[in-house]
Amino acid sequence: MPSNKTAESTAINRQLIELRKRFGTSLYVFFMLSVTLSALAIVYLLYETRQMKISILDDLTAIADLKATQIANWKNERYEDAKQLYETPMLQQMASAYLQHGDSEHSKVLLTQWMNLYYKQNDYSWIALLNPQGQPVLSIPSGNSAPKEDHFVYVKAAMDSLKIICSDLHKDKNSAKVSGEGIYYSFWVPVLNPSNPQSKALGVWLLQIDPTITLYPIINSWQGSSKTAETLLVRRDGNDVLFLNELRHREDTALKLRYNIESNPQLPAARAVQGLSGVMEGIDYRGVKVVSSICGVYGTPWKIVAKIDKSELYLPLRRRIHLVSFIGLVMIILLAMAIREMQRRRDADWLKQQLVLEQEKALLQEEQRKIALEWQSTFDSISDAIWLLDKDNKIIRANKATYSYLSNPDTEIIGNHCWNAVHNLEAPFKDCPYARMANTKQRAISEVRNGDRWLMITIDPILDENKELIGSVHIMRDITSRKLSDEALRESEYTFRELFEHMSSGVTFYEPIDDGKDFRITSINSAGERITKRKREEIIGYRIREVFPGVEEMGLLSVLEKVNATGLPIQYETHYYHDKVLSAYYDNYVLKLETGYIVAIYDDATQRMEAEIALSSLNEELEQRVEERTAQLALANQELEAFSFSVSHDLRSPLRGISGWSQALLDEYEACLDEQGKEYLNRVISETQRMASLIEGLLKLAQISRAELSPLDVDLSALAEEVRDRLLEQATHPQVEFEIQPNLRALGDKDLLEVALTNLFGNALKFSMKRELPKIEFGKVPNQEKTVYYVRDNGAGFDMEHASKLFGAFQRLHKASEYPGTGVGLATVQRIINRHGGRIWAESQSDAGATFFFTLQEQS
Amino acid sequence: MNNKIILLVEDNPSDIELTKRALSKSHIANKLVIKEDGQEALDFLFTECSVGRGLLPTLVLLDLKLPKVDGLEVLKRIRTNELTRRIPVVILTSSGEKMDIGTSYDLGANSYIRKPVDFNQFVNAVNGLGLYWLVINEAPGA
Repeated sequence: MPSNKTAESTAINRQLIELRKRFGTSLYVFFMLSVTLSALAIVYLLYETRQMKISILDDLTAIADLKATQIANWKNERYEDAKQLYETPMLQQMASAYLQHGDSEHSKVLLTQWMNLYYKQNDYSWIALLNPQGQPVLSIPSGNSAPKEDHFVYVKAAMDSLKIICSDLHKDKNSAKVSGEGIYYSFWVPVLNPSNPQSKALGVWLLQIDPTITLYPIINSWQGSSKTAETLLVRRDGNDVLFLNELRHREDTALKLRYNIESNPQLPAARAVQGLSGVMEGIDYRGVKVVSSICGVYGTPWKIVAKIDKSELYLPLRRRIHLVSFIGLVMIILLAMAIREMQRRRDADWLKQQLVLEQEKALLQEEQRKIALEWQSTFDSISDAIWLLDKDNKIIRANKATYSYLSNPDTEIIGNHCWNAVHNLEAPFKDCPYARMANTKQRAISEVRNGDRWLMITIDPILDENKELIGSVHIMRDITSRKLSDEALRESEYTFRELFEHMSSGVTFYEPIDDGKDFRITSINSAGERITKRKREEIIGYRIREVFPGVEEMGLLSVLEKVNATGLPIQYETHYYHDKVLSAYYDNYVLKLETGYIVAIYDDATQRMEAEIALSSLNEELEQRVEERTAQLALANQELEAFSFSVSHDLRSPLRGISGWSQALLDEYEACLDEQGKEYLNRVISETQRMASLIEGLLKLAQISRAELSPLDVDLSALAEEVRDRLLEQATHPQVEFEIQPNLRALGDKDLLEVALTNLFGNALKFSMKRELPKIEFGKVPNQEKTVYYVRDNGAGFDMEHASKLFGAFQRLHKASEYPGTGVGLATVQRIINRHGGRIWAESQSDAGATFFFTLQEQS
Repeated sequence: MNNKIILLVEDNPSDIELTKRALSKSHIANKLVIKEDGQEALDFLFTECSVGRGLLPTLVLLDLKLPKVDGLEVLKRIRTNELTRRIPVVILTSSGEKMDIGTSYDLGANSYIRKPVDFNQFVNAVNGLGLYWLVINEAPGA
């Protein structure tokens, strides 16, 4: 059992390990694959992030640069316009002339044409020619004539410097009511005195540009689909940074929104005006984290800031992260499912395998259980009491039979010494063979009497590898009946000894010697002494031929040899033995004993032999006499036959004479005879006829008795049909019905059987002729041990009282006048049947038909 | 027809007379020589006829049971003699023994007639045989 437990726990451990291995592996694989997948996703995302960031920042920078270039170009173009006005002498002359004289209509038209040209071509909101007081003398559009306060500053500056003055984006304080409106960028071009260009200017051209037409759209364009991206145009204004354009996220900012540079270091605009450029992160005017690209606008104090919210920057990234995460998750789930499926399949396989193993285990256990049960049954079914003893001689196991050996079957013997349990002793039972076995370590056997029972006790040691006694097997067998039978054997031995000595037949025991070629006498009984006329002491111990020299001649020696060789007894009857002492016939019965001894039992058969010889001579005499008598009888028979032949033969002659001469008388002397005389003569003739038939019958009968039988296989049915046909030819009745059973065959003489059937059928025909429908049947009686044939008619029949007379020669049961006949027919039939070893008999009732039965070969 | 002799060998006088009567009833008027035992018959055939140059019979009617030499012996001798071996011999006897019939034919009998007891039948038989052997049958010639 402990080993069993170990095995079980081992099995459980194995299962656990197996489980851990299996599930651990799956989990591990799942984990590793997930981590790899996640790492790949993260790496991909990181890469993507970087690429995206670079791309966006590139975009930002490109936008900033592009816009800066556009704005620079735009500003240059406008400056070129101003420069053209300034540097074209004709225009300077016309303008100065107009300003000086003011009446030249021609100049006015020309100037107006020029101004219109500018105005229409570009984004100018107002082009005017101002006098030195700053009052417009000529303007397009013409209605916009009110001078602005700050004009004068610029007019004066231009007039003083004689150079083109550019007024940066500024607000027209009077007009600007709506956001973004009233902001202008203007060039002030001095009109030089042609006669003295170094002298004081005569007036000023004003080219007022509306930034909302071209500049602001440049700035605000190209924001793309972004929701947060915007471009700022800023410039430094003292310690502040000033926003020049209208913003995307806040209204009314142009030239209004300003921040202190020092206190807003994170503001990209502030950084821009500090001279920084490139890409940087910061916090914009809304306080939102942004990424910006800064670049200066060539030829201006302006800075372009292209920025985008940091949150928007990472928005596609977040989407990408979401997508990747989603895909990753899906893949992990699929992976998990795949692994799960694999696991499931493997589990199914494993479970199947486990099931098979379990079944095998169960089968094995069942087998073991069966074997154990078989052994237990075997153990219990043995009628001997069997105990297993431990090395202290205590009983550890006992079979069922044990309890039938105990006087009290409830005795608890397991764990006890046999002497307490069985013998009620304090010390080992004195005859117990245990001590012997313990000494010799070999089987010990004792036969012990226990009450009225005899027990045979066998103790076999159980030894370990070192030949140390570790237990023993104690087998107790009830040998009472054997003991009793031993006793009975002794008794029977005595009986047989007595029988041997007192029986009337002689008995001699021989011991085969010289390989069974010779025999030594070992014992002889009293009858033997008497029969052989030898004394026991004369022959015992001698070879058979030494004391019975005639034994070889008698043939008994070879009989002894044969019996010795084959072991089969031989009856050797009535053989003659003689030597100097003996001369007699003996009947011997020789047999071999299991011990190998040969026993001859014999009687003196001399007297019987003599009687037999006498009897046989008597028999011989008798036989001779019988032969003689038979010969005499045969002779007599022959004579009788000859007699009957010659009688019948010779009797015919006189009959013929009588018949012939009566006929002659009748023929020749008819006239002399009266009717009665003729009648008498006719009677004589007919009587001779009758006698002739009688003689005929007798002759036939004699012939049949003498005829040699030549038995063949005869088709009786065919024969019967032949006979029938012949008879019917002569029959007088027109409607005779014959019924002949087909396929009847018999062994017999065909000619004689034909005669018999002719007689039987003829008889039947004769006696049924008076019926309206005569019917004759021939067949075999069914279901008989022997074959019995019958011939049945529906004719006159006969009285069974007279049945015994039926088959006698010349016996008739009917009147000749009614049914003529000789009375020889049935006698003939009987003779034929008898000669075939058969029997014939008849059954009938008067006037109710008759049935003739016959058999063939009843006696061979 | 008249010069044809019939030899009847028969020992029973009654039968002789009956035969004669039967022959006459059948209108057979040939000369009938009658010998009453076998020896006589043989003497007639081999001595009388040869020596006396008498005519040999055209037909022999032979009984089997005869004194001295029986019918079968007579038949044998007739058949073994050069002179007589072609003469038709009809056995006319009471015996119906198969053995007799067989032996007779074996020895060369031309016919075997069992004498019926009934005279009318006897007449019929004699008539038949006379008609056959003396009229219908072509004799071998002398």
